[in-house]
Amino acid sequence: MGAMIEARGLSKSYGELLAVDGLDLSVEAGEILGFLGPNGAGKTTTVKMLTGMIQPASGQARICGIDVSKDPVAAKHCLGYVPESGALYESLSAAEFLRMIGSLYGMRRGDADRRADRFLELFGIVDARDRLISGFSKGMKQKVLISAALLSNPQVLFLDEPLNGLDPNAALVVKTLLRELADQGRAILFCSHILDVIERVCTRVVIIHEGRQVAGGAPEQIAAEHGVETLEDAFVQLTGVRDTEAVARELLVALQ
Amino acid sequence: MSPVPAVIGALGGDYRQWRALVRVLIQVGFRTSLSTEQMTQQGKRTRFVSWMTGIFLGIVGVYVGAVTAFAPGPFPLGLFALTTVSIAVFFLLLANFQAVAISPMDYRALGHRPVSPRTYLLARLTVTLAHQGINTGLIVGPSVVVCGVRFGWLAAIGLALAAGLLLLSIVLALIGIYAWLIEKVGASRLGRAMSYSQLFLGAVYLVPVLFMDRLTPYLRTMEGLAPEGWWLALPSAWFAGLASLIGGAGGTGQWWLCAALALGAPVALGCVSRDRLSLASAQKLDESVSVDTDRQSKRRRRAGKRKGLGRLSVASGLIRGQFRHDTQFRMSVFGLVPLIAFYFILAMRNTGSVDPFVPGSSVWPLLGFHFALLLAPTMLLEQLYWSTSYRAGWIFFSTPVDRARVAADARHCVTLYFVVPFLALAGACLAWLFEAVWHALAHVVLVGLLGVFLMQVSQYLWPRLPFTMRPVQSRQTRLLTAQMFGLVLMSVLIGPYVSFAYPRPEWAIGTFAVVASGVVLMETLLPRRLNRRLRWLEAEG
Repeated sequence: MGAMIEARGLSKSYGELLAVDGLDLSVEAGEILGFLGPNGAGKTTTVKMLTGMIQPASGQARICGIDVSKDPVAAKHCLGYVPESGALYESLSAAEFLRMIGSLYGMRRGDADRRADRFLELFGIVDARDRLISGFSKGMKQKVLISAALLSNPQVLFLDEPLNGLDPNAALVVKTLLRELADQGRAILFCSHILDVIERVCTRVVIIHEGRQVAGGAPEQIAAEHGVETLEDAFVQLTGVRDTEAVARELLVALQ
Repeated sequence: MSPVPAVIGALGGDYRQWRALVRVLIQVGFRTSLSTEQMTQQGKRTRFVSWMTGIFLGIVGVYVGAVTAFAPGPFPLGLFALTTVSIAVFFLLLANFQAVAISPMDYRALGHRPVSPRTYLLARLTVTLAHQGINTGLIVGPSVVVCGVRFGWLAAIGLALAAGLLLLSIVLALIGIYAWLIEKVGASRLGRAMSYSQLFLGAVYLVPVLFMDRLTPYLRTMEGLAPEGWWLALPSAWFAGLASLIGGAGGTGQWWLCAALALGAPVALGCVSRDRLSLASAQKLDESVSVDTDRQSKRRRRAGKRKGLGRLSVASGLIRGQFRHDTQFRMSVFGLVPLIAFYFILAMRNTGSVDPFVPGSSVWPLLGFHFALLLAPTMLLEQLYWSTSYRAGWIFFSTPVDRARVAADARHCVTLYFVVPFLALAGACLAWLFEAVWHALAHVVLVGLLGVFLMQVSQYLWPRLPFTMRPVQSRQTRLLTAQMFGLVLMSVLIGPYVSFAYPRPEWAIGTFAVVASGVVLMETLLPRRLNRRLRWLEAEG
């Protein structure tokens, strides 16, 4: 079976800033790809191009074999996305928001409601289903976002910091769920800065820096290739950060 | 079977998505936002149109209906009613464009969903038409009844249909213009372009208002008026012509030309706009409110080097920054310039003296001018509170800042940066109009002091911190409408009063003393009130 998520020579600029520079990427069915990079490396821009939210300047993005630029609506039918921005219509209740999402994916209202209720129940927020989202805590909003991403039962998932704001119990549920979803044959692209989670959840990791891929492979393989013990050390080495202890010391000096 | 799915399908949209989006966008646009505590207690609350706005527009509708009762035929009647509607709808849309027609939030929440640009356009268009349709109905409804009673119900149906088509044309025209701007102008310059376009469009659209001012007194004598010559340059005349034709009037070439123009306008504008508005437009708008280009950074660095205004510097830095980057705020400031210019032109067109220091002068031509001068300070202060960056307001709630002082400083900055320049502009206009510099100066000072006093009263009644309120259309409109009643009342009273007081030195001096004392008294009372009310204010978002 071919790649479910595929990027070929993907590039995007903002003015003079080259955010993503000819990136190649592929995620197979059943795979969870950890997508890493320092702040401003181009992770979110890449995900936005892959999800059809912005047009690439050059290159090609394909989801489930569909060219995102040529047929964005069909490609978007195959994917679910949890954005880092946590964008929700906060003047709606959780039930109303999820019902709208179901309609946008062509689900029948009864089916969407049933599935949404089940998700909210499993996440422990079913009692709040009719309350406005603006009154939700960050973790509750994140649970609504995850429910919205899963509602249409997509074959491809893009998760940008999906564990943001979740309590340890909910985070554990999501991590287990992701593994199960991958076992069922879904392709998942997982962006996070929490390297422990990436190491535990992802089958493969890609590190990007200044819009370009600088490493790819299993976490232990990347560490071994760069002569370090952990993915964290490899990340620090690859993304060009100075001696972290020295920086911390300098910050303490600046406080004086 | 309902024809709606077939129509949406024929227009290239997905009916189920369209229905879901329309329902949600209406809920999002009009649902009253409550504080977290209130929401927990009261659940959700929906208000499709604020009652206050409804009452205000209803009054306008009754006035228009009363004026049209004297119209000698269906064409002058339609012309007057439809011109009023077009001006009202145009300005309502102009004032709330981001909230009503394109929302940056749409891109963030819907950008990755399988929604085609056409479905999004149709949903947004439907929501905007629903909202403005209610406003249009309130304004034109009484005139339709008058038309039915006087010229037959066929003419009334024609007028209602023409009003609907006119509304559709205005919405499509504005969507087309703004979507074109969004498409052609880079995100970094979009905010600036939107502000200038509002200024330009506002100025252009004030021409029909001037025309209406001329039309009102002559409405009775317009028997036999037909849409020919220069009338054809006025779009509302096309739609009035169509209404008359449906009502059985006319029948010659120019009436058919009007009908063709009225029917062709929405079709042509629809063709122009159909592929323009999409989630990509919302994305550009989103970028325009969050973009940080090198140019802006440089300007900010330059601004940082400027000498501060002493203790006002925190509030002034915030206001200057928001003025540069917050499109909505900038648009509200620029929108006042054509308004002042317009009322000035209205006053100028009067043939006699309008100087209230000269006994026997007519003071009514200055009514609008007074309204604009009193409106500017309160309106600007009000705009200062509502911001898309309201979440950043946590800074006032988590730092040991004197909130009362920040609120007061914000008001002082509005006075310093905006009210004083507006008054200088108004003073120059009045000096030319009165042909007496001292008279103009004295009058502008008095009206300016009254404006400042109203601003103080507004802050006393509704104390808030700058840029900390979540912009929600219904809540903003309600507060603005409440303030508008006071402003209108004062604008009406001020003219006759000053024409009585100015020629009498003891009254003139007494008036200045009372108004100045009022300002000083409010300045003394406000700190305690602000302290008491803002101390326990809770952050939104």
